[in-house]
Amino acid sequence: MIRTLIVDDEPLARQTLRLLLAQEPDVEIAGECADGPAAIGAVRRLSPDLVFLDIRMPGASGFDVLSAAGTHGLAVVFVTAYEEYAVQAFAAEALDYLLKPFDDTRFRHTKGLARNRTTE
Amino acid sequence: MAWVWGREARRQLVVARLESLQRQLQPHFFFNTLHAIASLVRVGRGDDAVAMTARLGGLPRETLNDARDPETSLEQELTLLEQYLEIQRVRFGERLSVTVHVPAEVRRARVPGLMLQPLVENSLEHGVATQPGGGWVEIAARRDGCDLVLTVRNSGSSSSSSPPRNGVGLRNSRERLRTLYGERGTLTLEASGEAVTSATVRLEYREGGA
Repeated sequence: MIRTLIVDDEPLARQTLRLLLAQEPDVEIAGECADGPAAIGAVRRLSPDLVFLDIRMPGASGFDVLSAAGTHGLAVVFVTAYEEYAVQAFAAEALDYLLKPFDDTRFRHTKGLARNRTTE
Repeated sequence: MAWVWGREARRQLVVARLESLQRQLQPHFFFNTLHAIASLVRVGRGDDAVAMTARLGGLPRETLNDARDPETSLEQELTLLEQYLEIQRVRFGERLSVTVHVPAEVRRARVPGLMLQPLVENSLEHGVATQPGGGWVEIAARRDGCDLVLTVRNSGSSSSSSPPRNGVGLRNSRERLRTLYGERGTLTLEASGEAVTSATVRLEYREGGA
């Protein structure tokens, strides 16, 4: 199972990811967080395989979360409305960078990448 | 002289409209709102998605209306504000609490169009959206003798994280107040400690048509 953490400050955005991931039999939702500090705690506590990570959040940014909690073995998919963090995201060895809004085809591509990475 | 005054007031209204549109198209608002609409569709809340699409369209339409009068009624200003607030309520869910205290007797008051809007947007985006756990915004209007007093208060400090663009918005707001009401038109920002930030607009109370 791919243990997955969902981090976004908007409830609907979290609900969407939960719904899209529910269709995957090999994905298990390990947790959900709505702000940076909660995400730091959850990454440390749950050691997920995969995280869908918003960038601009209350308390701490997605990048702050990664530097505070560490990324050992963690596949990171940034999910954001902003284009301008892409270079920084890939410098942080992001698996993918999903721009909101995204369609289902684009999301399937992300899931393919995640599956390849986490089953390596 | 009245003609010159009118032209300057209209120029400042155009600036306010452009700044408002610019804010409506910022990624944190525009793309996140589109994402929320797509989310509503995905989770089967089609009616809410339709309503939110209408509001997202209503904002620029009303912002760009071709009225040449630099003033509008408080009632109209609140209607525009409500479109924006409805969108933000759906996006932020329980994290956002908004209250509007505007008694019926002041709703006919004349106010500069798009004056409340940037203050509320600033409160919400910087005072509420950045707080883990969310926060509240309170919009109020009251008559104080010959003046109308509009206040926008929010939990949290909105000044520390405000981008410079808001400074520009405030400058135009202040210039508009001066053009329309002279010394009687003021805009003041106040932080009460770490917990509450408030913006107060004071202007001459007038009612009805131009």
